Order: sequence, then C-alpha cells, then structure tokens
Amino acid sequence: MIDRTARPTVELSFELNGRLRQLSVEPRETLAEVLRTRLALTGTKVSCDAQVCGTCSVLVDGLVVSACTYLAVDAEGRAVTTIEGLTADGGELAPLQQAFIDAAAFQCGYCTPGFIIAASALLAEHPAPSRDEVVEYLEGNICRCTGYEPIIDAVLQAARGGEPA
Amino acid sequence: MIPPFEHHRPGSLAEALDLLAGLDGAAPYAGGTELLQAMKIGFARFDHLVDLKQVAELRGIGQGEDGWLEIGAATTHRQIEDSALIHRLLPALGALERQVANIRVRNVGTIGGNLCFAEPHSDPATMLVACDARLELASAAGRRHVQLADFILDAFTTDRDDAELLIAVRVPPLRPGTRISYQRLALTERPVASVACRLRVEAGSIAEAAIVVGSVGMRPAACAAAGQLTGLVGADARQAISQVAGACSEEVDAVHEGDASSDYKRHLTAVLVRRALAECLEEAA
Repeated sequence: MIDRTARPTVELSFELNGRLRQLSVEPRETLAEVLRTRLALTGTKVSCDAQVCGTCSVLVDGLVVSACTYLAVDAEGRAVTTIEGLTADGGELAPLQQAFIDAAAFQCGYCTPGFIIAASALLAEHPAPSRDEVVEYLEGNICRCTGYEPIIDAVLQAARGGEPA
Repeated sequence: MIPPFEHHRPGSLAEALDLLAGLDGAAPYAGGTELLQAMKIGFARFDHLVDLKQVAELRGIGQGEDGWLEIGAATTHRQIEDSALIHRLLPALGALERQVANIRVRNVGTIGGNLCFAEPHSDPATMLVACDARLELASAAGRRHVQLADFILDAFTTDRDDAELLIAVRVPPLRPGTRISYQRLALTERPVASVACRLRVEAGSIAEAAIVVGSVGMRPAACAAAGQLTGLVGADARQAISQVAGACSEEVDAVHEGDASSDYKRHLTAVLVRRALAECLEEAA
C-alpha cells in the first residue's frame, strides 16, 4: 500500500493560454484544482463536480473537457485554454465575450466562462452554426438564470462578427 | 479530492501489461470519466493509475480482413460519432454515440472505458450487445476473445481480470436486410430505459431478431421474446409487435431506481420495444 501521507509530486509541463508552464503537482489533482489553486486562474468554476453542469469547461487541444474530472497530469504536452486565455494580453475581449455582454447573456455569471469556452470550440469547428446546432452543442452546459435564449443569441451574434440579428 | 495514487504512463502495450501484472491495487484508464468520478466520491480507491493514452495498439477505427468493424478500446465517443467508416458500416452506433452523456464526456471518455466500467445505463453496451459485438482482451499470458454479452456480468462487474486490458471491440458486418433501431428515455443524462433492436428481413420475412434492453436491470439483457418474430411476414410481424413488447417487459429484471419503480421500468420497456420494432419494420415496408 502506498504511503498516503507522503504527497509526492510529479513534474507537469503543458501549454496554458499560449505559454509553456512547468510546475509540480500531485497526480491526484484535477486540472480545475491546479488552475484555480496553484495557478490562481479562478475563471474556471466548479459547481456540480460531476461533469454534468459545464461550469468547469476548458479546452484541451481544442476539445471541451470537464476540468473537474480531468487529471492535471493528463494535460502533459497538451495545449490548455481557459476563459482567461480568450482575452487578449492588452485586455481586449474576444468577440464571444463581447457578444455575451451585448446580448445580456449572463446574470450571476457562474456558468458564463463554461458557456463561452464551449461556444468558442463550437465556432472553431462550425464558424456559421444554425440556431439548432448551437443548442445541440451547448446542451451539456447548464444555466439557472437566463433561460438560455440570450446565450444562444450571443453565440449567433459572435458568429455573425458581432452584428445583432 | 481524489485520494492519492501513483501515476504511470506506459508507452507500449507490453509496458502497460507488465505494470498491471506487477502492481497491487492498480487500475488502467484512458479518459477516466467514470473512474475518476468514482474515486472522487469514494466509490473506488486505487494506489496506482495506469494511463493508457500512449498505447498505440488501443487506438484506431478500421475494418478487418474478415469485414468486421474494429474499434480500438481507447477510441473516444466523439471519434466514433465523427467516424466516416462507422457512418458507413454501423451508422446506428455513430448516431447513438452522439447521445452519450454530454460533449465533454464524449470528447474524453472511451468506448473501452465505458464497456469495462459496466455501468448498467451504458448506451453503447446495450447497442453493441444487440450487434453481437466481440471483445479482444490481452494480458501478459496472451490474447483472448469473448462475446460482449458474456463479458458484462453485473452492474460494474465484468469478466476482465485485473491484469487484463481490453484491446478492441469487434462487430460482425451487418448482413443485407438488417435494420437497427435504438430507443431510449432519459430524464437527465443517463437513460431510465433503453432498447436496441436488430432485425434482418430476408425474402419478405424476419430471418433474425435481437432485442436488448438496457438501464432497466443490472446489465444489458437480451430478450428471448425476440424469437417470436422469426419467420413472420409483413402484417403478421407488425401485429406481433405489442405481444412481443409485452413479453419483453415481463422478461426483464427491472430494478427500482430513484423515482423509477420496477413497474415504471417495465412499462417503459414495452413502450420502447414497440417503438423500436415499429421503426425497424417501417424501414422494411
């Protein structure tokens, strides 16, 4: 049996929001825990902690994953994008982020980073999605505040280059 | 937090099998969507996790020389959903994979992990049992093959030995005249009941029928009542639907679960079998 009081760490090397990061983590730490606690990137939230709600969504090699149930060590050699990575270094918001503001697509904001990350993956795969395609792609993200319509509007608006319908 | 463990990342199948044979309390994983969740809530505990994502032998979707569809165990649900080959050879599986859990689980979770975890609500397991899928397993001692229907023994229990790895899922080619229908009712992400139906129509009559019910009991269950359909033609077949659906609902081992009573699950079984058979026979019309 392993010694559970020892807490050995391993070296993790991955690309985070375009920059190479190297740090020591315990194998058991999830990507969400490492992002929020070791790297102080709290844009990624944890809510259900069971891969159901989508608030912890991040991109790993362009694919949306639940950071709450993804081992940080599994990001070795991969490219991770968090909500913080969508904003340009100078502070300019990504078109999706701006569209969420313009369409009033958030209230409490807790689900918002997850939705924007998922939507960014959608638009990278399908730059001009139909409303139905947006709904289907975002089916796995839950919002308790907005009733979803403004979120769908925001994604479609961003797809149109920021032009309201 | 997940309890502590040592992490291993073998670069080859041989290395992975060596690790599993030599370590005590080790679990293999690829996506980890089920395993890590179980560890988080204290449902499972392992001293060692063996990451299979660098094992090339577990990857890929192809067609064997015998025409069988071969899906590497570490293939994600998303890869199956997007596969042109599967769209051609077994489109019903591709369509079903699109409904598994949510997009995040589909991006990371694998067919091998799904089948080895043997969650009673597994959609792929139910469909693949109906398609007579066969599994290839490997250990330090060699390889073996086993029918998926015989591999899944009970809830979260399979025939896999701790030192064995699932290599691939193999599905026999669909013969001409085969129709497949998959029906599921899901109130949240996991279905309450699911039915996979495979019929083969030859010279106007039903030559082969398989009905598999998932989520209702502890494992996907093939219904003997499907045999009542063999030899039936056209209108007779359509008239037998209700009777067969009723027989299936009585046959299955329905386990009460949360808000879903055994009676409700039996009721759903009949409804979904009826719909699945109707869809299969409609295609045949």
